[in-house]
Amino acid sequence: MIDEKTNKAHLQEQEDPLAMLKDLLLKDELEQQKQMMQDLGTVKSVTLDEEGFEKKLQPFFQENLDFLQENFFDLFGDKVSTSIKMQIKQSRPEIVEALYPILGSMVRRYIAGEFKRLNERIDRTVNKVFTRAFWKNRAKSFITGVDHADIMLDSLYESQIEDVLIIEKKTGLLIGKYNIEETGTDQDVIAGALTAIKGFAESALGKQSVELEQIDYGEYTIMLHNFYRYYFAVICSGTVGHYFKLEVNDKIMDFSQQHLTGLPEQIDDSYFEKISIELQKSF
Amino acid sequence: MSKKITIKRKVLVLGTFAVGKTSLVNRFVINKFSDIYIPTIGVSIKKKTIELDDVNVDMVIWDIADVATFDVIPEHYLSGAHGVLIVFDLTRPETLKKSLEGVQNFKDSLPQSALYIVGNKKDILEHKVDGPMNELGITEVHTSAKSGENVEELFAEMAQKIIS
Repeated sequence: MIDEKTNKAHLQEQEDPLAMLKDLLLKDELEQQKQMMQDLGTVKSVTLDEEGFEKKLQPFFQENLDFLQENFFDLFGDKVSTSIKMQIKQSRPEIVEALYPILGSMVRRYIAGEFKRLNERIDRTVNKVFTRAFWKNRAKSFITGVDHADIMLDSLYESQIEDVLIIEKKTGLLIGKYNIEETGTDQDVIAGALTAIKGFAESALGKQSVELEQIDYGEYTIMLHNFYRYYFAVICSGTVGHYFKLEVNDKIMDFSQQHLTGLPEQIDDSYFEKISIELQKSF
Repeated sequence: MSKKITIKRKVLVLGTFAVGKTSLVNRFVINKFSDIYIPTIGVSIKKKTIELDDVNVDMVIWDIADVATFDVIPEHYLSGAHGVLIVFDLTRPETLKKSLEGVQNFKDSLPQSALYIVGNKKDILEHKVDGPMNELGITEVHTSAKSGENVEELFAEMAQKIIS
């Protein structure tokens, strides 16, 4: 019995210091816990009040939204453009498929518009019947033997000589040149390329005796007029009709007779310049 | 002092695939090199003027795409060429063998032209090549289109040989 009593007293003595120690150690935590519970209550009440909560957050969102709107390109421009490029690259077939009908209808509309314009031009030309131009064209047709309709078509989209190149057949080197305006493209390179194309077309057909006479390239026509040692490449824009071709061929024949008989073996820059000047005078 | 005359000359660059023909031409014409290999289709034509002591030479260069054998090169490509560069790859001896097969053809069909056999990619591998160049009477030059070594010198020497 004594032992039990002693033990109880001893335990009581022990509990008090433990409680004291607990109070000492956990005092701050308990206060923090109390504070946190209060804060949590406040947050709960604020969040449960939807209208009030929205009002409180609104300025913050608005500020960020404004910032994003103002700086979107700087922040995400590169990423967006890379991602769009990647997307386009990956789905090229789908894009082409989607654009095809749109482009098709655009092309149709363009062609229809062009036809309408051509119609109007033909109407205007036809209306010129019994005018001076009409009789002039009729006379031209009668003298040259070129169909009157061809002459009329020629006058719709007037042809123009853009460049004249005289090229040595064997080497593809330029003998002389004339161009309306400098395009920045090296004419020596063009002469070589034309000779390569000409040679390819002629050998591909397996008929060396047949020579390439015309190349159509977009809005341009390249007329090739062949001689034994050289050929003329006349680059023209507009409608190259029969009458225009005859005119150009006549000029080429005249030029060749006047300036290219006795073509020297070695062509230096003084001969090149001389021929180029004569080309300018003649074309 | 009289004005220097300028003459135009056609130069062919030939060789099997990926020996560096286009790189060599680009190094000479635009002084640029790219590691990316884009095969030439058909022929690519470029031009550069070389100024010699008493004459300027407009070199119109026909860089011809790889062909299986030299005897299938279209006649109109070869026709009238004043100079021929047959390029091989110093790192692939078989390309020299193939080039030498075509040399006699060029000597026969273009007897007046200046003929050079060019070992390219000197920057990767430089070694003496065993070949019958002396017997064939052709000049051998080693170049690097990548570093530019010997490229300008090769074309200048060829221009001089062409006009003399």
